[in-house]
Amino acid sequence: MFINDTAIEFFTNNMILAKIHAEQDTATSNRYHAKAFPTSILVRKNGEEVDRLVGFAPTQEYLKTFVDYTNGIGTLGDLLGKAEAGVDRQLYLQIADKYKYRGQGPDANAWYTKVIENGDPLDSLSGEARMAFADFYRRDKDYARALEEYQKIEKEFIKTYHSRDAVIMQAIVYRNQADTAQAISTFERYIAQFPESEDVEYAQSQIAKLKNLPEATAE
Amino acid sequence: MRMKIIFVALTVMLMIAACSSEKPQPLSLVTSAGVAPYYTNLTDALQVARADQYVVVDFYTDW
Repeated sequence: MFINDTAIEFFTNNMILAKIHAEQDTATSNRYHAKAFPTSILVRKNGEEVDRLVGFAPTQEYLKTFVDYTNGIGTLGDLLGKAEAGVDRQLYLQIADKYKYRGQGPDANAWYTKVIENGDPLDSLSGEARMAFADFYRRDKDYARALEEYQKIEKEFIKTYHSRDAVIMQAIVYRNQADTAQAISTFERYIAQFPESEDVEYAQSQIAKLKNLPEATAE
Repeated sequence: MRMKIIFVALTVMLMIAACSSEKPQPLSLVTSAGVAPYYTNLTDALQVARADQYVVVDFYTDW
């Protein structure tokens, strides 16, 4: 809900807001490949996508992003143009993410690969690219490949937050593919290995839910 | 006979007119005080948009 005065004015006089429940209106969410939530997509009157914003943002930043998009700032096309100026791995990562969220896997992977190939394959940016890679498979429900990627990241990026995040993502993948026993043991391993992590509470709540989940209704 | 044909034709025309004057389906516009107005149906939002006006489609779930 946009209860901010600026947002109310903006969506009354400037742009039109449509709020779509992605699980109920699957035709629309599939049409735009909206798989991560929240996702806000700027479209023209003919329904053509200009660009999208994935995740939460403060109201002012949210509105500015869409105004910028109408001026060609920050769009995929804009970023691709900038990428021609020279090697910029951070920019490559942004481009890859845009392709990923649009469901254009091959393009996303090509740009994630550029991030890795144009720098230290084990530095932070490469870690982000690798995690995004795995994340793409997870969202596409290719759980076997997602698990394989997360397991590699855990080993190769040891003692970094990527390794830590790769463990909890493995637990989430196990949960998503209804492997309750593996999910519980992986969440438990996460808590034991990273007791200081801010996600410990989440892991504990997941374990509690999974232990109370009847096998017949496991999701 | 001629009068009968005219009568039937007029009846059919009136029936067609009655059908075509049905009220349009209400748009999925949600308005309430203190909240930005929004549509719950994208087709409605696109339909009311001016030719040069943009629509922000906010996808959400109950998670």
